Amino acid sequence: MEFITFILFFILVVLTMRMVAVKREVKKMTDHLRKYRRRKTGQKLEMALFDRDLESLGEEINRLIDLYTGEQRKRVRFEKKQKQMIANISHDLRTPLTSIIGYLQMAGSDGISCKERRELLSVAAKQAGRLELLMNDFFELSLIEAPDYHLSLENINIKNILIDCLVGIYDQFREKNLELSAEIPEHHVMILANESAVIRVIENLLANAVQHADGNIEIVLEEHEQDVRLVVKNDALSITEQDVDRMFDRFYMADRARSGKSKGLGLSIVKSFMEKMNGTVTVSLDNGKFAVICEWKKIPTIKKTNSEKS
Amino acid sequence: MNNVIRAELYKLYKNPAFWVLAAGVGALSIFMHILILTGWWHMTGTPFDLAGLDGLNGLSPFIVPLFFNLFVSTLAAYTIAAEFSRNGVIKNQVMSGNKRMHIFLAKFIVLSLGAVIIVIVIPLVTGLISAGFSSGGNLFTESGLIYLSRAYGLYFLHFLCFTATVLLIAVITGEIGKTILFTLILSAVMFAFEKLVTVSRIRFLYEHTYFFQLDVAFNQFLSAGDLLKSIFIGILSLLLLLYCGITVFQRKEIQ
Amino acid sequence: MSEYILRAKQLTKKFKNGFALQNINISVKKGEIYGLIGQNGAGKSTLLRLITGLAFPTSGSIERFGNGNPQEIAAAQKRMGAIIEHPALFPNMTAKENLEVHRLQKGIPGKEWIEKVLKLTGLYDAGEKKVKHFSLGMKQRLGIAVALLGDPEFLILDEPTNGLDPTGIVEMRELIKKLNREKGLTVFISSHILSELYQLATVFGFIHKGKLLEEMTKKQLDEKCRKHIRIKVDNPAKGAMVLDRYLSAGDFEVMPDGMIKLYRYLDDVRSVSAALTKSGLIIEHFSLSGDSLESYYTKLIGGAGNE
Repeated sequence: MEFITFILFFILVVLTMRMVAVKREVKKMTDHLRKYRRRKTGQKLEMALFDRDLESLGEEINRLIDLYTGEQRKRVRFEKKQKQMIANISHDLRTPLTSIIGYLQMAGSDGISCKERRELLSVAAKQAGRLELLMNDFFELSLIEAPDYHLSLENINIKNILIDCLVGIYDQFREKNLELSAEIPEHHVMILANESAVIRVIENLLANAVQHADGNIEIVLEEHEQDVRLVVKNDALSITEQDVDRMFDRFYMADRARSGKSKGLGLSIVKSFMEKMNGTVTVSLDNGKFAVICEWKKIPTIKKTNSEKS
Repeated sequence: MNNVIRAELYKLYKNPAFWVLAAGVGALSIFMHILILTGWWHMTGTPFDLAGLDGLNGLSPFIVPLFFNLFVSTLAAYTIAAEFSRNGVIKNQVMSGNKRMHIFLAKFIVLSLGAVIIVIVIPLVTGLISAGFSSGGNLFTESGLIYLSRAYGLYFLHFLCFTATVLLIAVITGEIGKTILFTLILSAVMFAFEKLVTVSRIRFLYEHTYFFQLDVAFNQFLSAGDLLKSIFIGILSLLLLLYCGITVFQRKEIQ
Repeated sequence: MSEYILRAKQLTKKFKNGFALQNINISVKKGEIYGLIGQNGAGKSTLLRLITGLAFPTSGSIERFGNGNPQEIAAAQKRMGAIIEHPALFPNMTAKENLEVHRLQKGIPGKEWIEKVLKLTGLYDAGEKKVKHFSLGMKQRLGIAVALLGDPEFLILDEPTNGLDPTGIVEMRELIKKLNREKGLTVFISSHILSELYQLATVFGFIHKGKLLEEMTKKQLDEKCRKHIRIKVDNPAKGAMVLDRYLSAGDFEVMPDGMIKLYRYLDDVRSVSAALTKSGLIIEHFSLSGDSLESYYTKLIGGAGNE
């Protein structure tokens, strides 16, 4: 009997200690969460690990904190991006504008011949034209990148579009004496995409290639199991590895555009379009050959009806 | 502090030095008990002998500091000193957001646990089992059991003082070799006091250290006053040693 | 939440053989990646030791997360993760066991975290392998994994690229950038190679012989390190036109205050000034500015050495 009493007493003591420990832990967790809510700390919950259920609770709370910080960071990043964009745009406009003003001032000054004046004005106009193109690109990009901009995706034949675009730009190839080799399958190549977006993508890529190419341009359209790949390759001696790294950085490209080294934000626009079509775009530089690779999802024939709906 | 203790336990459990020591002591202890029980080795005058527990004579080496310090210091060297010098993991622990006092106490608790298992529990259990086998149970008289629990209870308290000392040495030196060496020197010096020093004043001081009390614990007869004195010395030494350890650890700059 | 993650004032650390750090003032704001650059022995590790609370300053104060009380350092440590010098690991344990020890002592609920940091640092397949069989690079990664356990707000890394191969360095840089971007992680990272931190840090501090020589943002560093001609003329618009037309120098910028930064004609300064004067412009300022990254750094340290 004494023995049983002793055992019971022992159990009671252990249970009481445990209860006190759990209560203390819950209090500590509450305090921490209160601090977190008041933004006094950004630290996740840390706790005495002695009770599995309590630990699971802590784990779930930490997941919730993760979710919360994730959303918050997204917002902060977005705001920062916007602010920076405005600053960058004004930076990009200032230099060309200043030189346009310079040309106009010069043209307006006395003691220069009519011919010179005309020349100055035409340079100013050309500069202004370039600025306008840049502005349009920025505008288009901001439209495409808006979260509520949706492309309706449908089943389209990229082969026909590619051929149409090639025909359209053929004169420019001739003009620059560029050699074009195209590898296009004979059958239809179907992808899930938006027709006008695909046209813009291809036009941009071709225009870019024409701009940079120092000889020939290769265009390959190939079908893979899961996707369709379009590769536009051209010789580009002036492009460095560093450029490749920052090819999709629009402000870098805008910088280059201003100094006449590139046509503008073409690749950024291509990237945004591709992302909206659930595709990918990558660039590579290999032996002085610069390649842009676009990939679209191929439509599995069975799911055709579903994809048409969307 | 719960978390640091758990981490320390986990580390002890994963430490090969602990398992090697435990296995070694286990084997050694069994071997000695067998030697004694089969009559190959005669020991007389041990405290167990005097208490009528001659079956446990094999335990006597394990209560001599000059012997058991080797196990405790090796364990402390490979669990604690190694963290300072060999792999530097003490950095992670100090930066983990636990108070240094808690880290030190957790180390003390877990080191003591490991040392108690190796130096007390394993020999005692093997001893009791082999003694039980050989004498058919008549060993465990009531007076014998009372003696054992009183002796080992007191011994345990002073043993904690010893682990606290070794921990202090490990924390100060932070090196495996030095930890073992200094512990050995300390034990040897204390042994020398025990055997050689007869000057009454120094002798008086020595008799009030836990080293002497480690021995006293196994006295066959202990008056209530002596018992209380021993407990008092043990608790006071422990608190003092822990206080020193915590202070040293709190001020220690970790390399 | 306070704006400053770390603020150290007049930090001095004296060893027996002299000063390791002298009157260091340093501050790290939330969300920054602070790059601490200095040669070996400049005092980087000592500074990091003081920041993490492994060692204590001889004089001066350190405020972590807005709290300067040395008694409450543990609360701040909970919010930090660090590697100081070599990654501290148990060689006899596997990667997972090493992380488990740290998870226990930090009190992080959920074993899921261990898998998460292993994945993050690219060690997922080596989780069951004992650390003593790890290469130096893998140990370094595991060290980072330990530091990242529990999602700290402030990450302190001492020469984290030691022992990593070039791809490892790139991966680590991307990981830090990602965590900084997605979680707002504040990072304090030290190196003896400026170019290594150049692509990563947003603020730079240069330490030499225990003194903080200079502190600057990435933008300021860029300014100092891109060679250009600074031109100020009485009519910036006309100046820009002249550059554009007569020198066909497309690579220039006009700053808000009318200063023109020209990135070409660095070797032919004379023709630039000639063209400007010929067009009747009055040159108010004309100077060559900027250095390469390494030569800037060498100069900075050389200058300090001669003091």
